[in-house]
Amino acid sequence: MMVERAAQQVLGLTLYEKVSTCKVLVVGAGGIGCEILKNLSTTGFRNIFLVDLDTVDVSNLNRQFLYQLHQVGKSKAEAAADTIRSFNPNIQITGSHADIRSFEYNVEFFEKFDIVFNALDNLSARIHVNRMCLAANLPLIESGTTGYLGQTTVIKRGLTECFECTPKPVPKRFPVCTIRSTPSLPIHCVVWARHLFSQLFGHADDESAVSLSVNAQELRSAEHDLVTDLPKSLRKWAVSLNFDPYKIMHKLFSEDIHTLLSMDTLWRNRNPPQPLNCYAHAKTEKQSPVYENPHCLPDQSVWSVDECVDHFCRSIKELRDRWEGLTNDLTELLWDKDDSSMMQFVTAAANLRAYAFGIPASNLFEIKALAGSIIPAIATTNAIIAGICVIEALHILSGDFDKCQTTFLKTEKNSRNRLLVPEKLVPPNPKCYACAEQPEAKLFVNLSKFTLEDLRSKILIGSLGMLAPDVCMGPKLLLSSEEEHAGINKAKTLKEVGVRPGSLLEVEDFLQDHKIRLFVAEKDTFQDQDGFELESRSIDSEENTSKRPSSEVLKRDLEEIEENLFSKRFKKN
Amino acid sequence: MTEKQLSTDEAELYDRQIRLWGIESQERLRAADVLLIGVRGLGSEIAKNIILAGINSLTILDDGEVTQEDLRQNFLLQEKIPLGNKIAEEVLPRAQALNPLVKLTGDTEPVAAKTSDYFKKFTMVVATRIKFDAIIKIDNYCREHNVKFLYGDIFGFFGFAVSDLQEHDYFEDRVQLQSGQKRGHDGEKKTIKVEAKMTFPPLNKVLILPNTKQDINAIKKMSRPNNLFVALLVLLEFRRQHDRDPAAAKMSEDVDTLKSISSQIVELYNFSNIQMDDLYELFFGDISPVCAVLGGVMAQEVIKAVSHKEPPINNIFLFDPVSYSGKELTVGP
Repeated sequence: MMVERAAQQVLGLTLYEKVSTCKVLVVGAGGIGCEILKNLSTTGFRNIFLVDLDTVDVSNLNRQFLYQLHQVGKSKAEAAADTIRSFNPNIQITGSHADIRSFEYNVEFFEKFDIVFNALDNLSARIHVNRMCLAANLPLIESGTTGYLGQTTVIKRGLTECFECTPKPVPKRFPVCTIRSTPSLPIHCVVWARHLFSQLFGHADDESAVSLSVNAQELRSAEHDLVTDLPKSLRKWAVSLNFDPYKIMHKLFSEDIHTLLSMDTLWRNRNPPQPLNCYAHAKTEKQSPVYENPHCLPDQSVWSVDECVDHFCRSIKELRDRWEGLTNDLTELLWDKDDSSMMQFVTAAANLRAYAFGIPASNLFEIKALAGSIIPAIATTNAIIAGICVIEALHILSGDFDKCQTTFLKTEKNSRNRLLVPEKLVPPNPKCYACAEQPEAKLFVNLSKFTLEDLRSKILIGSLGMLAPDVCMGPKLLLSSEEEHAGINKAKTLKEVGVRPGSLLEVEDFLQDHKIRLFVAEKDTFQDQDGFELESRSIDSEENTSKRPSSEVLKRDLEEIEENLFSKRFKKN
Repeated sequence: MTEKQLSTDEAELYDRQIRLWGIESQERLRAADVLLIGVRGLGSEIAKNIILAGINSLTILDDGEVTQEDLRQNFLLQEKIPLGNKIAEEVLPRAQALNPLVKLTGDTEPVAAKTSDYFKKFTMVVATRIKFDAIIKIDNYCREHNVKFLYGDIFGFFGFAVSDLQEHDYFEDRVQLQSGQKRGHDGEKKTIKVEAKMTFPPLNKVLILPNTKQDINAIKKMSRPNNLFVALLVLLEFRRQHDRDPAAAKMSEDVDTLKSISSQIVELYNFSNIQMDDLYELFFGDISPVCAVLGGVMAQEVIKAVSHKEPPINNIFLFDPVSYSGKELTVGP
């Protein structure tokens, strides 16, 4: 066929052959994923497996162009595969509505492919795919974008750094006291309000809304929520009042403020808060919002105290009705930033708190971004980065790894005339947790306080990115990923199960085909609330002391995924 | 064009981009009427990106017919389109599905048939695949009517774009730290809008080819002549002389032709130290992912130009076929 011949001449016969027979795995069908899929199709790739656990949302449509309005709510992986098939019916493409971290996507599964593209938006999935590609010895093309900026790189075991060779930036952490007692910025109020929502209607022990630091251990109490300092029995109390909004507001924005005011030391060098009299702000008539600026969305108007009180009343009643109407053993409302009552509630509560503390109020548009961790996104950034990704794939298939590189997409302003900046790939870090020949690390904990469950969730899953680890100390099995060993009491401290300073723990994740040795050392007190330190074993230990992604962050990612998977909105076709 | 307030549907659809460039930019986009010339590999990428961005209308001008190559590569074409149909019409259904809010028109007339008045009604003109004479002619028409103009092309792994935004006013968002705060401090940051202005030279003073009536005195001595800029001129001259682009089927004779054109250009501009031997073979064919990269860059230039937000490229963008770097070059008197 003439067309194929033309393509062969342009790419060269060998490369053309490789492109058309190459088996590609694409993880993620969002902004970058849609663009990658389109590029693969137009470049001549014919064999694609696509995994994405999400469904289509309206806000995706400004850039995830494989989806249309009538597909909102459907599985992204399946919808994207359908659209690509319609571009070219000769393409073999499977779209799987699933989490790449499922056990069915084991090393054997990965080994079926020639190239893997990561088109993800979260750290824990990136780490997992990195592990799997290392185990299967596959080239991985990693990429990410935010706003106008983007970057892409190539990872190949033994040749280049893997994703975990260098520490990744840890998201912002807030001191607990700031949220509880001395907020000074709108974000502090939003975090508090989000937590309030969890306590009243959602998952009550949900600390995942916040990344905390400093002295949190000391502030923990059995009766009070760590972040809001409200009683853990708040929901019971609210139920007993039938969620009377005025009584609740009075407690939160008047009584509790009075209590804070009585702690003089807090206010010696700070402007003290003023309690709000919410009863006085009861609206007698509905006022129409005043737009400061004609170029404003309705969501961009800032509510007065009156309006906040009104919105608080209406949203809390709506949420109460919904919560009371839950059936099928469900006892909690699932947080959804696109849920208008939930956003109304959080905006009203955050602003009331802001008003009390003399902090400028924010509009719903801004608060939604803070509460929902929204990242602004456009089509062009993803288009450019995805183009580079597929060019890298062509290099890999030609065997030209020396042409592969890291590429940064910058803006006019920060670039000195260089918009796309290539950088040479770097050899692997010999002390990397993930790709070193024999990964080792030193773990500092208080053996009398740290439990097996802490080890599992904070260290192995939270910091080391494992999913289902087994831990042995010599012949003794401490933790198991298998059901038969459910007899292991994870609440026991390490000391109680026989771990001593100098003990060697052998950790293995069967799914990721990943092993690491942990050397244990005793330490009594720690800088932050995590209660541990993790160091890779090397001479320059200062450099390598863990700036690992915070265990809270990874745990939150995993919890969000679990929420998505098991929420009411998860639809299997 | 009056800028109405965005509807709730628009606010929901464009939420993620409004959070980046602001609602005024979105309103200006919504008032823009753009002409796109050429809807093949590069053109279809540009079309996709600016349709998604939410302009008011896009007119696609392309007198070509659908070929086998198009069916294989162009994601805006449906599968079972008869070869020989007009491409400007056949891309419309898929293009419309990208964003039902944008008004789309296909125009199957040749570019050469269009006179100055045709260009008057557009906010911006984006051109691909046109010959040198058409580039200069359309730039002149655009200048007559204060219409922004952007031209770009792909030759194999090499891509470039050239802008003429004439007198361009724009706003920049600058982050200002409160006085007394250090960088990176957790305090309030204020974003302020700064006004700025840029002037662009006309393209007949930027792209100068041998044996034309152009003013060779406009060629300013370039302190560091750029291989890729020479390549750009060489390829335009090839197209002008041979009425086609370098073709893979004739690679070896076309490379020879390119080399000889290159010596002419180097002489005309009085360049030295131009090393292009490794590059010639990279100029053949239509490499899709390169279309995607340049299509993204050009579409972002359109968005910046019509929304008058953020500094545009002034005035040439060059995508390096060897290093995949993307650089801005300023050329002109």
